[in-house]
Amino acid sequence: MTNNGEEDREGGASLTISMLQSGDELTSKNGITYKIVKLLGSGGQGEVYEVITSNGCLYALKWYHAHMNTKNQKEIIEKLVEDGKPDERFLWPIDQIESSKTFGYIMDLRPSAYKSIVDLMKRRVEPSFRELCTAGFNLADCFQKLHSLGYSYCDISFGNAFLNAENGEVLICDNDNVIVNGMTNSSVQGTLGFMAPEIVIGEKGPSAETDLFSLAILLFYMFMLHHPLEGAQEASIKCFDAVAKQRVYGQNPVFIWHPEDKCNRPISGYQDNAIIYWGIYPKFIKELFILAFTEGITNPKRRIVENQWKRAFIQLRDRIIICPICGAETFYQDNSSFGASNICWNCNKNIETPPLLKIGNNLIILNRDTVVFEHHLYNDFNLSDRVAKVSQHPAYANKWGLKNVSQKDWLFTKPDGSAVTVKPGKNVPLICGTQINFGNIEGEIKRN
Amino acid sequence: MSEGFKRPGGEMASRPLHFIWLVDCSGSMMGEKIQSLNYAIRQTIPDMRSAADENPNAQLFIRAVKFSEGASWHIATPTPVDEFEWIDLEAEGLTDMGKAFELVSNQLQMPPMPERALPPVIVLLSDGQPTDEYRKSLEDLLNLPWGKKAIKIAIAIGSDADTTVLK
Repeated sequence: MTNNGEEDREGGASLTISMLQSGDELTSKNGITYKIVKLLGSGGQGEVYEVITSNGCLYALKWYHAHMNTKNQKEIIEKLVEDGKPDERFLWPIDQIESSKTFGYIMDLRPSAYKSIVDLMKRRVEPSFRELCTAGFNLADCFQKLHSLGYSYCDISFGNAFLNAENGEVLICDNDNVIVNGMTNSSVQGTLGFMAPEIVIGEKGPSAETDLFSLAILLFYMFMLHHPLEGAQEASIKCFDAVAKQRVYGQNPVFIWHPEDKCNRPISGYQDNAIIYWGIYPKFIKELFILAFTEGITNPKRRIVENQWKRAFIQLRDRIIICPICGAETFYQDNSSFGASNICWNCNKNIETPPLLKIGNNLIILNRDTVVFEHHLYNDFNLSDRVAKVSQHPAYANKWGLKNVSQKDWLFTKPDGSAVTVKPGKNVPLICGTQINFGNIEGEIKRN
Repeated sequence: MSEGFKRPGGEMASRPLHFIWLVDCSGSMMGEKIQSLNYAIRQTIPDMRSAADENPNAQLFIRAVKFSEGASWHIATPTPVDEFEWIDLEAEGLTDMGKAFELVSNQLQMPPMPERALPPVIVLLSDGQPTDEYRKSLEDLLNLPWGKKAIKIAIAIGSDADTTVLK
């Protein structure tokens, strides 16, 4: 329910009526006239409308409730408009509009292919693990961009990020809370459940450092469909009200998979997602989450930074094995304690590990559609330029190779020690023990 | 992953949130007041739906009590917000507000309330002129564990409403 200062009153009962009506025209600071098309949504701060310019371009207008019409909020928006968007992934304030009672800003419309994280939580959108890893990478990359420009976002939560389940691309919206890091003029403290413990207990305000905690929460939700601090403690609480939330998220935050303090383990039958997903992912990503919610709680300086997440999500994506029996995506586990094979979470059958390519610390499972990027050679996060791709022999369907799709010659050393040059467009057979020199970086095709 | 293959697990765990309208349809509400009330409740439904839609932590269930001469469940089943439709009320008779509190108290016992939930929300819409002895019933309601935790809102209907009772 929204409440605003401009609503009409009819018959004595206060009604929820949108502040602007279809067809209303408003002129911006930049002198552009926008006509209201329809109301898209409303929240605590204001309403969002679809608007159209005279030349037919569609945008979104956020129109604040009168109580948000403050000098501080106006200055924040003015600065963001002036600075310009960090890149196209940010639905950033690009123009301002004022009325006698309140004000608002124009931003790009979110394309319908982008779904909210709430849709992900409610299983209304179902990306593959592969696209989820890509989305995790992109999300960390967006906030890294924002932080590197000196901003803090202040309210990372379910409603602010959108993802395209088809390709893992993300959009960041609600950028009107963004402030210069270190300033204390944010109009929000964050969303309970995502806020860093030091904000929950009232010690600090939002900053880039507290953003990192909220980002870790959001990523945990995306990959585990559960909150990292909601274990036995939450399950034992009958009424999960503001006081109880203060305790779980602020006064006594204990990670559900804390390696030593096991008091807050998730409860089977009530917090099942937490248990199911923890069993699926490889050790290295779990260790990163453990750090995020142990040291990351007690020492804000030790929070996981975006580069760590980005590297981890590429590694996680590289370790996906498609189960040859049921087709589910499962993850390659290092030094499996059960021997050489991995077990599919879906069909419970042993999966013979496909050949894998090891380049330095990068380990890439060679599935039928695997692509090797520049990042795998240079650890530079370049996931645009391709180096190699798995390809099928044109005459023998059961023969697979690694095709050179780079501009450079490779040197391929067979298991018997003989060496052959591999020109761009040519293939190396997927034989274990094969060494490939990609130019100045060595890789090896292995089985385990 | 083959087409349509899902990742494991289910929806994110959530708790029920019980929302109860307590609606005065006594004689003093006759005319524009009851019409305005029906209209106001109907107006809130889309907003409640979209708020629930954006909140994966809660499953929102709505029901309603009406009170005039006596009190009864106007919409008795806790109805998921997506399926909830408001049925218009007519006004006549006395203002047995205390009876309405008793009905709500019966529903806030455990059971039928689940052990784990979000704080229930009780919204009273009235012109605030109860004709029965409502204080004892209100006190009983507020002494229940879920009654204590409930978020209680009273909305005055009409410019002549007695707001001291609603406080």
